[in-house]
Amino acid sequence: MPAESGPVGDAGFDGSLPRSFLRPALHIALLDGAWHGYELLEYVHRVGLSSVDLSGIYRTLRAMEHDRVVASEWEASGSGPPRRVYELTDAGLQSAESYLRAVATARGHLDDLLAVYLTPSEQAVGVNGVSS
Amino acid sequence: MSSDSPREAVMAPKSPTLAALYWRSEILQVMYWLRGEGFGDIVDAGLLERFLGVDAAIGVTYLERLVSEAYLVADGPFFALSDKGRAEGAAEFASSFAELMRPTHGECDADCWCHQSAEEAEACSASRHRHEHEHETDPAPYPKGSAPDAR
Repeated sequence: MPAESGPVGDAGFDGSLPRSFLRPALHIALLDGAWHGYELLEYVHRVGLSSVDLSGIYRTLRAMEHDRVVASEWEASGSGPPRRVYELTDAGLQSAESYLRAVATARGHLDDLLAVYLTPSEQAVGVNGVSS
Repeated sequence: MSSDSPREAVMAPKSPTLAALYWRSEILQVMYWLRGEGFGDIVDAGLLERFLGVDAAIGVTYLERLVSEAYLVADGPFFALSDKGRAEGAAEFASSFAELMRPTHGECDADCWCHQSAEEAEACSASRHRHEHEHETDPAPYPKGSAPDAR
């Protein structure tokens, strides 16, 4: 369920990011270091991938691991069961850098789109009040 | 660039014996993973469909098989890891990607299970032939990968 999204357009677009952003988003998150599955789920919801659920995270991480852009290992927990922790491989770092450039390009296109109607100050504030 | 489609379903072997081993591994892995993420270790067939792409009606037969093999315990439509299943789930996760490193003969995709056994190679070959015959009267308008919208 999209969180705090604006009005839904006539084609059902509610401002959340399409699922094709999931893989780039996971790459970019993992630039920050090693993450657990549930942490990644919370992250992708925060950045607008509100339709993604834990099964999507699991399947995408498995695919990324298969493609050798992510490696994972069990991390022992003092009180609970071991958790799988994921981090980028060298190939994954290169992919993440490519995704960063692609996302920056996409942002440029969106800025161009909004520039027709919004003032610069309106463009600087996102739907959820987050400055870009 | 790879898609986010469920590879597990695409990679599933076609011979019944290997398919059972494959789904045992996949089911135990996802249950062990969910347990680590704090969601417990109880699943039903619908969850398997979402996580693994296996049709729920088929998935439940594999779940019941795992109960008979003492990897799972059943409670109505729900299934939980046994001690044996927990141990096996961790081991499967650790070894699953080592399996994918095996050399390939190049006829199929590197992920194809036909590289795993003669039985699977035979089943895979039969499946390919059936697929080719199905398309003989309806040839693709473009060679693979060369369609105008192919990426």
